[in-house]
Amino acid sequence: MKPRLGERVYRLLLLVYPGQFRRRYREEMLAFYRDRRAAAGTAPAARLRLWARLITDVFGTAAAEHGAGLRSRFRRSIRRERTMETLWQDLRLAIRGLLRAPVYTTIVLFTLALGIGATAAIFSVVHAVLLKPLPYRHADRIVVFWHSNSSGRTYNATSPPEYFDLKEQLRAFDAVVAIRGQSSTILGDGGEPERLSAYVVAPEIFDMLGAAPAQGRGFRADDGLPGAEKVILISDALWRRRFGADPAILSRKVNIGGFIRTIIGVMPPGVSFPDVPVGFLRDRADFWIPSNYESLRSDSRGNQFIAVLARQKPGASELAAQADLDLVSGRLRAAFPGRYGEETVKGWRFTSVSLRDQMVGSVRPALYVLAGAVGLVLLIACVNVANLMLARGALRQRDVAVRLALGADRPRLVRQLLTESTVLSLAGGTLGVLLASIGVPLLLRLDRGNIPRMDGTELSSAVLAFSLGVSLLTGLLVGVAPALAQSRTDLRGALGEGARGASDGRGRRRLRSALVAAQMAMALVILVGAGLLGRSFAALQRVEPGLDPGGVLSIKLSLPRARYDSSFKITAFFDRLAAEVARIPGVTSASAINPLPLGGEGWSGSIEVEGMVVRPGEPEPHAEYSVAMPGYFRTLGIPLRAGREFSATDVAKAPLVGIIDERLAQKYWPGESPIGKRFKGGDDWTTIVGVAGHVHRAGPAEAGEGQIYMPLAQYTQSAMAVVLHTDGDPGALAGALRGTVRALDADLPTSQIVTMDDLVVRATARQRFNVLMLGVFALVALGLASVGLYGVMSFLVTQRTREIGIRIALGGKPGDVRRMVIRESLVISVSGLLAGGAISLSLSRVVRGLLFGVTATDPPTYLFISALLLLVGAIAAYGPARRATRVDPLVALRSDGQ
Amino acid sequence: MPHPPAGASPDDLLPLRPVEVLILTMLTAGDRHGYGLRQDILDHSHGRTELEAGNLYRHVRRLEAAGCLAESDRRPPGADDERRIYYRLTPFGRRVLAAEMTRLRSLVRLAEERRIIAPNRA
Repeated sequence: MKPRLGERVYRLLLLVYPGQFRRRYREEMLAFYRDRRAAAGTAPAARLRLWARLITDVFGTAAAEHGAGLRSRFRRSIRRERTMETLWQDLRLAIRGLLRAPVYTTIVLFTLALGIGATAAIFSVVHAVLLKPLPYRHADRIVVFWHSNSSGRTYNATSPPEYFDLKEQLRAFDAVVAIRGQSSTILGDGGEPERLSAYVVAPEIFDMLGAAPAQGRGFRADDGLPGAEKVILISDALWRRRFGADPAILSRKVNIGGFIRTIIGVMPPGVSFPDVPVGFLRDRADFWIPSNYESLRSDSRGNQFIAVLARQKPGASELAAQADLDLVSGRLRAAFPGRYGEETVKGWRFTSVSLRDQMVGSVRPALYVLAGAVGLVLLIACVNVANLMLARGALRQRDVAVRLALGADRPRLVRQLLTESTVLSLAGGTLGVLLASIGVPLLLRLDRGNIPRMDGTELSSAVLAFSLGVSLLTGLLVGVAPALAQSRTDLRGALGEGARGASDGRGRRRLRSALVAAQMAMALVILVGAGLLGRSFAALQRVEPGLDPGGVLSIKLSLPRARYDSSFKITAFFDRLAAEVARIPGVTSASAINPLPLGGEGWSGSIEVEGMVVRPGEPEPHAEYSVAMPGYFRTLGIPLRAGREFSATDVAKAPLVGIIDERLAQKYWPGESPIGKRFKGGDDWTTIVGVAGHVHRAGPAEAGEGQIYMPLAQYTQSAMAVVLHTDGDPGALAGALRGTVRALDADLPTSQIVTMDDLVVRATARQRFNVLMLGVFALVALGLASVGLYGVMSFLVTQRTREIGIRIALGGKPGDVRRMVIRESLVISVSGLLAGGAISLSLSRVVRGLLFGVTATDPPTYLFISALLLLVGAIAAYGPARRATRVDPLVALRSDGQ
Repeated sequence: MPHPPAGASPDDLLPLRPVEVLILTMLTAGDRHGYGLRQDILDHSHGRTELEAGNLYRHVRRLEAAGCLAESDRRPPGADDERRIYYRLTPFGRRVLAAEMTRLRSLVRLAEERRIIAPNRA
C-alpha cells in the first residue's frame, strides 16, 4: 500500500538526520509517527499542531545529532580533518561562486527573503493566536457552558439557579465556577476617575484555570462571603498603568464604585481573564471581585446574566463530559418542562465549548487561509529560485562536465551544489527574518486589536526555529532538482556540443515549463482568494447600516449606583446632560442610547405580541432591545417611517410607549400599521407610537433581528451612550463633550469617546485586515509568477537561437516566429490556469465562511483573474518574442550560445 | 550491540538528563517500543512531558551507546506490533539508574534539611 502524503513528507524530513542515525531508527520513527498521527485525530488544528511539533522536533534533534556526530569525529582526529576540510572547502567554493555572480545572488536572496519573511511573519501570528499555550496551566481542560437548542440559537448567559444545578450535579468536572461582568469606576486614589472592567468571580476561579498571583495572595474560599473584608485582585496591566507599578501595592485600599476595597494581589502579566471575548464576556479584566454567588440563589431561571466555566476531570473524555451534561440537562427538562421542555424549546440542552475554541475559534479559518496563501507565495518564490539555479546550472554545464571528466565524484558534486543552495537559503532566511521583524509591528498596527491574542505576536524562539527549518527545507527544495540535473550531465554531449553551445535537454526544458505552469496555478489560487475577499469587502461597504454615522460623536457613561440610586436621579442627570450637550456650539442635536449601535454590545429578548398565538414548538417572538432618549433618531439620522419620536411627555407615569423598526413591523404586523398596537416585554403592555428604519446594530455583515426602542424615562438604565450630531468635524468636539460631562459630575470617567465613523471602520476591521493581507500576498505572487514566466520565456528563446535563426534563414516571417513564442507561453499559462482553477474550486469550501455577498465559486472573479493572468503571461512573453524576431540568422548559426 | 566499556562505572554517566531518567525508569516496568515509552512518560508526567520521535530516539541512541538499554528479543504479551524494536533495561542500565536515584535522593535530603521543602514522612 502506498503510504499517505503525511508519512512521505515525514520520511523526507528524516533525511536531515545523519546517515547512521537515520538507518538505525528510521523505521521505528515512522512507526512512531503513524501512532502519533492516529492519536492526534483529523481536526485541522490538531494536525497543524502535530506538524509544528514534528518539524521543530526533527530540526532541533537533527542539529543536535549532527553536533554529536561532529564531536565524536573530533575525537577521531584523522577522519575529522578530512570531513571538516571538505565541508569548509564546499562552503568557500559556494560563497566565492556566489560573490562572482552578484546580480544572480542578489535576485535569489531578495526572492527568498520575501518568501521566507512573509512566511515567518504569518507564522508568528499563527503561533501567537493558535499554537501558543494559553497562560493557564489547565486551559486544555477548561470548557464554557452554552445553552443550545435545535433551532440553532445558542447563548451562554446562564441564571444563578442553573449555575448551582451544574455545580452540584456535574460529575465529570472537578470545578464549576461562575463569572459575571461589572464595569466599575475607580476613584479616590489621586488619579482621574476611570471606568474599569471588573468581573465578579467565584473565588476558586484562578485555582481552576491554573494561574497564581505574581504578588500577594489569591482568593480564599471565604473571600466574598458576607461580612468578610472586601478584597480584589488586580491585573498586571492595571498595576502598571494606574499605580505606576507601585511595589507597595498590597493592602492598599481603593474606592471602587463607592465601596472601599483592599488589593490583595497582582496577577502575572498576560493574565486578564477573559483575555479575549468569551461568549458575552467582552472586555479583558482590570480586576476581579470574589463572590460565592450564594446571595444570588433564587428560583428565577429566566434571569440569565452569568457565564459558567468548568474544568474536566483529568483523563475525562469529551464524550463523558457531554454525557454528564446531557444527564443534568435531562433532569432539568423533566423538572421544569415549562422552561426547558420540548413544548417550550425544542431540543434544549447544555453544551460545552473548549476555552481555546471559545477564544480563537472565530479567527481560525481566516488565519488558515492566510497561512495557506503565504505558503503558496513561498512555493512560488522557490520555483523562481529553482529556475534561476537551473539556468545558472546550464551555463555552468561545461565547467561541471570538465570537472567530472577530470575525476570529481558525483556525490561530492551534488553536495557542493546543495551547499550553495543552503548558503543562499540561510542567508535569504536571515534577511527574511529581518523583513519579518519590520513587518510584524506593521501587522499589529493594521489589525488594531481585532484578532484575539494577536498582541502577543513576536519573533519568539519558536518562530526563529520555524524560520530556520523553513530556510533549510527551502534550500533543499530549490537545490535538489538543479543539483541532480547538473550532476547527471552527459559528458560527451556537453563537451562535444560545447563548441556549438550547450543547449538544454528536452526533459529539462519541460521541467522548467512545468514549474512555471505550477507557479501560474498557485498565483491563480491566491488571486482568486484575494479577489473573492475583495468583492466581499466591497459588498460590506455597500451595505446601508440604517443610520448616518457622519458628524456623530458618542460617549459611554455609567452612573455609579451609590450616588444615582433612583430612576428619577438617573433620568434627571441624562436629561440635563443632553440639554447641555445640545448647547455646545456646533452641535445640531443630542440624545442618548443604550446599547450604542456598532459598539459591540447586544441586548435581546422574547416579547409577547397582543393577539398573536404561539403554537407549541414554534419560537416565541423575539427582538433586539434598546433604550433611547427623545431626539435619538434625528441625531443618528435613522429615518422615521411612521408615527413619532419619543418626546418629553413620555415620562414614568405616562402610559408605556415604544418604537419598533420596520423589520419587526413586517414580521408581526404584516400588511397593517403597527401604530397603536401593543406588545409586552415585561409585565405591562406597551403601545407602539412609531416605526423607525432598521439598523445593523452588530455591524454591516449581520442584519440582526427586528428592534424595539423604549424611552429612558420609562425604562431607566444607569449605563447610556450620549450621542451628538454636528455639521462639522465631530472629533473636534471631544474636548467640549468631556468638559460638559465633568461640569455636571467630575467623578465620571470620560475616556470612552468615539466618533460613529470610527465605529463603522472598526466593525469591518477584521475583513479589512484579511483583504489587505491577502491582497498583498496576491500582488507578490503575481509579481513573482510573471517574473518567473518572463525568465523562462527569455531562456527558452536564448536556447533556441539557432533553431530560430534557421527558421528565419529558411524564410520564416518574424510574425510567425513571434506567434510561436507567444503560443508557447500561452500553453504554459493556460495549463497553469486550468490546474489553478481546479485547485481553487476544490478549496472553495475553505473560504466560504469568510465571504459576504459573493459565492466561493463566483464566476466573474474566476474569469477576471484568469484574464488578468493570461494578460500578464502574454506581456511577459512579448519581450522575448520580439527579441526572437530580431535574431540574425548568420550570427545565430555561428553563435556558441553564450 | 554496544556493551559498556570494560570497567565502566555507573558514576561516569551521572548526572543523567531528565529524559534519560524517565526512559530508564519506564523500562523498569517491562520492555517497551518507542511510542510506548512516549505514552508511559506522558501518563506519568500528567501530560507535561510530551516527547516527539526525534527527541526520544536521540536519547535512546545515547543510552544504547552507553550500554544502559538494548534491543529486546522477547515480546511482551499482547504486543501490538511484532516487527517493532522493543527496548529492555540492561543490568548495567539498572545500576546507572539506581546511582542516579541515589544522587537525587541525597539532593532531596539536602533540600529537606535546608527547609526548602517539607520532609516527607511516609
